[in-house]
Amino acid sequence: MKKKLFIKIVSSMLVCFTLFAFAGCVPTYPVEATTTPSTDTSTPEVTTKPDLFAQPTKITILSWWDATSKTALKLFKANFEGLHPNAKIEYTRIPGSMYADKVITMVAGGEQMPDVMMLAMDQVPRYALGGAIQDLTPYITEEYKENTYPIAMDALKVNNKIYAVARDITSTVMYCNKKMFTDAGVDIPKEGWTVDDFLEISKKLTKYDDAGKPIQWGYAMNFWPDSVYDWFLIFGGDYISEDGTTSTMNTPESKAAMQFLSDLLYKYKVAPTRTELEQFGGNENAAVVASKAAMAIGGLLSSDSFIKANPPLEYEMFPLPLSKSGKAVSHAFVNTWCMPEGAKNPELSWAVLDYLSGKQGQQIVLEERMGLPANKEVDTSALLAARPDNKCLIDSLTYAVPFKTTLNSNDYLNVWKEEMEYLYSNAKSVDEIAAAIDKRGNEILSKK
Amino acid sequence: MEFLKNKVGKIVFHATFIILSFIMIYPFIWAITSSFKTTAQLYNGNPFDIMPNPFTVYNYQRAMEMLPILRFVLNSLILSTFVPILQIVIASMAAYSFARLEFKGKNIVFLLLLSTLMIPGHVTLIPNFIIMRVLHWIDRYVALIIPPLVNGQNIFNIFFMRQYFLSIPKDLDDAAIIDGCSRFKVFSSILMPNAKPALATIAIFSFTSKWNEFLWPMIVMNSYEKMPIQVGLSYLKVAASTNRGELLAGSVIAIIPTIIVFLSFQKYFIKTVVNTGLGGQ
Amino acid sequence: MSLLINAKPAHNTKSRTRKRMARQEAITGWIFILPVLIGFFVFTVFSVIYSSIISFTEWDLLTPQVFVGIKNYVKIFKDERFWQVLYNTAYFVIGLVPSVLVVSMLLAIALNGKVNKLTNFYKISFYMPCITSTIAVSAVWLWVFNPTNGMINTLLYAIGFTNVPQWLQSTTWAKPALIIMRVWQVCGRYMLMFLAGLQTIPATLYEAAEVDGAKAWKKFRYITLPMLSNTTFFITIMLIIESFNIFESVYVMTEGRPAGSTNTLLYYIYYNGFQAYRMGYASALAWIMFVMLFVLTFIQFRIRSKKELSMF
Repeated sequence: MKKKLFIKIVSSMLVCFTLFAFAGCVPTYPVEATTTPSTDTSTPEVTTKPDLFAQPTKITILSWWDATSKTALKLFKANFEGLHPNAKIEYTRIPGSMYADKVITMVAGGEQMPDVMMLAMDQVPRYALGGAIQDLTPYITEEYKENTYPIAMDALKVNNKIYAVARDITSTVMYCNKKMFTDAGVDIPKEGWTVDDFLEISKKLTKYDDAGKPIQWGYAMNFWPDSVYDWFLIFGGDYISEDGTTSTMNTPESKAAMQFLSDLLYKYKVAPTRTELEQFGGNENAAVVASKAAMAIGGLLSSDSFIKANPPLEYEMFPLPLSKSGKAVSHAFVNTWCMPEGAKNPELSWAVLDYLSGKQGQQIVLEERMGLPANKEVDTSALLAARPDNKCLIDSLTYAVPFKTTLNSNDYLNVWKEEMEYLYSNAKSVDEIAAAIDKRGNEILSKK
Repeated sequence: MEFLKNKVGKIVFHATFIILSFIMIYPFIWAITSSFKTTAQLYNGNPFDIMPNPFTVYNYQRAMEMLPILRFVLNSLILSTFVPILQIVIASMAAYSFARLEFKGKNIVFLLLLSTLMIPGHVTLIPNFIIMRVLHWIDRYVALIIPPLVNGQNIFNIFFMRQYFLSIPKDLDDAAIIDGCSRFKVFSSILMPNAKPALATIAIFSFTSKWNEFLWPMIVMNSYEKMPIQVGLSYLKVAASTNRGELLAGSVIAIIPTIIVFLSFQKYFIKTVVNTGLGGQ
Repeated sequence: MSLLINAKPAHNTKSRTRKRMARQEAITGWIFILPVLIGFFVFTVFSVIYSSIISFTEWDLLTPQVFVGIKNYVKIFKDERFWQVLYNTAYFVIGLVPSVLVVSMLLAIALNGKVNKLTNFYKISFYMPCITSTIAVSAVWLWVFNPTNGMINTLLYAIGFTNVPQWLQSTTWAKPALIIMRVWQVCGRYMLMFLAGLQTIPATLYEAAEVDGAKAWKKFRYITLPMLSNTTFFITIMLIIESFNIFESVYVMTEGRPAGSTNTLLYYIYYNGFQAYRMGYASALAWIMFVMLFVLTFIQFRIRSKKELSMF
């Protein structure tokens, strides 16, 4: 009896395993990743620059990008390994929405950290203050500072020390699905259009069937703090004050923006709610690609999803609507690369960081449409030549406002997200939410 | 039920139950067939349209490209077989001790251990995580092997095995002791072989329980090579943000092994749950 | 010990031997439980104590702990999300426990006593959801509850409803949706437990009742229900604990949304501990939950023993 049971168990296991092995191709994902220690590469201290790549060296880079589909990552690897034949780059990934939280666990666990990791600008202060990333100030040269756009440099500093290098700059414009516009007979908006224009166009492009089921929406929004930031700017409001000490959600301007967002979702119903967006994986660009939404705000990276769609999507870009005071609006979000605490060799990490944020790395970033380069030396003419409307992206860099981060940004934004949830589900009034955010937010911002 | 004595009653009864049973398993049927559909058919199709048209394994291929799903399955298979074995060994040894051996404070200790069952897992979640961190067990298999040996489920196993051992006549023990067996030998050669039904019961439920485990592995495992399938599936949900078909493929992979085990041992499952009130999960 | 009765030696040697054997037995006894005992002390006793210590601090894992006394507990009572979570838990208890009890009991009664291929198929179908992982199942049920293309709403639209519930999107229907899924998932397991309980009821009781002319309802009320009371009590406790443990379905399907209407205690603890990294606050929450569950279970046992006493 025992033998029979055992055989049954083992054969079930084998059956399961072989079924799956046949159902898909052999995974190309690298299975051995971070844990094997690299051979010591740096020559004993003293002297000049040690040759880091004298022997085979493994480099681990952690990001939220998918290395199997993001060509930029493949190009970095090919390029860098070409420059340093002994280097071997491997990518690990933690998917987007889990990233910041999971990495803290890794750091907290005191594990072998990757050599380089990606970090969003609003997380940099928290990681820096918590000792999770290393101070890069000793490595940054004057030349480096001069070659980087000021907007990027600001995002990298915490308490006047530099803790990260810029991966790229994302400044926002409005994208649209061309076909949906032509089908509905609506003109594609141009620079100088207003919020009222936006609302009208959205309404024209939204359709519901007789039973009340939505067929398509005029605009798809995402719900993160930096996704809706532009609307706050357009209405003249902001999350935090200039000096970063007070929360400014409970102001007429910010509240007007909040009301506008709520109306888009529930009064005019021109945008899908969060659950409705879920069917597209919570990704507003997927809704546009599926021709279910006509417009979405995005940076250069969005165009990548449209071009890589199957079939490729015909899209068009134009600046965001003018603010209520008639000014052009955009905001810049800087993503960074940094050196985790616990990286095995800081010199090695810096070599990679230098490459990624240097001219060559940034050129790849631009060519692969990951974002706009933070490095001034990169040649943007090819981008401009590719499509005329790419110009509005480059232009937006000139008037874009940086996404505000403070030392306590992370905690503040957690509160922001918790309270705004009530707005997104139409559960509380704008006044209540704004008051709650400011009350809790000020507690946080007044610390330290 | 009297009305069932007549033919019409019988037909109504069976018709109702066939429909109910079908409703119960429909989500599985749907999930399996839909994982082979194209995105277009998924989004615009009718949920009652079972046949994939065209049939494609694209979702599985993409899911496996994005994350090492097979590796997750392998991890889960290994963990779900070896950890329960360890659990059972440790639980049985403790159960033997409580059932057959006398020592001072035995009852107090037993009650203490039983009190673990009263403590919900949430209270120990964070401190255990910190302990893992201090011991540098984060992201190592150890974290998934050692703590389960003393969690509520294993304490329940001890309790269960103890009951079973108590029901085995002591004469067998005594006879062996006269023959010169050590206590350990009595345990391994007399009691354990006679407890096969109980052991098999715990084994099957421990396998299922381990396979389905989520929260603890989620917070202690970080790297893909070591993750079990349920955690991997939650990562897939975030990673497969544009194609829900991939998530379906992953879900099917996460469910199929337990279904296969269940169907192979179904008579056993049903019998033991009915007899012992154990529930699995 | 009886083996030594026929041994001849003097009184002293006998008791010395007995003592030696008793000591050996005790040592073996302790050795056998040692692994469990060590684990118990570290991962249960120490953890529980450590948890209470953490609950008196503020800690985000990166920066050092800061002792804040009972501030976390005070914050909890002022936290509207906490009260909402309590409300949700109560809702789940009231929604889940009776539904599962009724459904499982009815199923068990209907299937009781019949053992043939068809009824085995039914039992298997009902039990199958129990052994599958909630994570994977929740991902599938996202599609069942999809407001436009999902199974339930497609059926409703087909029948002619126009104002279909928006399920996971609506603050009124999100919890019922989770309850429906949970009932689907667990009724099989409890059905089998009721079946086990039913099998202990002697058929003679029913026969005697029939002789007295009792109809189906009377038989149920006066025989089946009371004889099942132990099982029912046991299952009720398990269901209440389950209602407090709803986590995985929330994690996959709603993350507490919309507007926190599906935020459960365990999810809120997880969110505070591992997403917002407020370890102290999360530990305090866990303790409050522990106390609540303990009190509830205690009350239930008291009611039960009072009831049993009143039967005399």
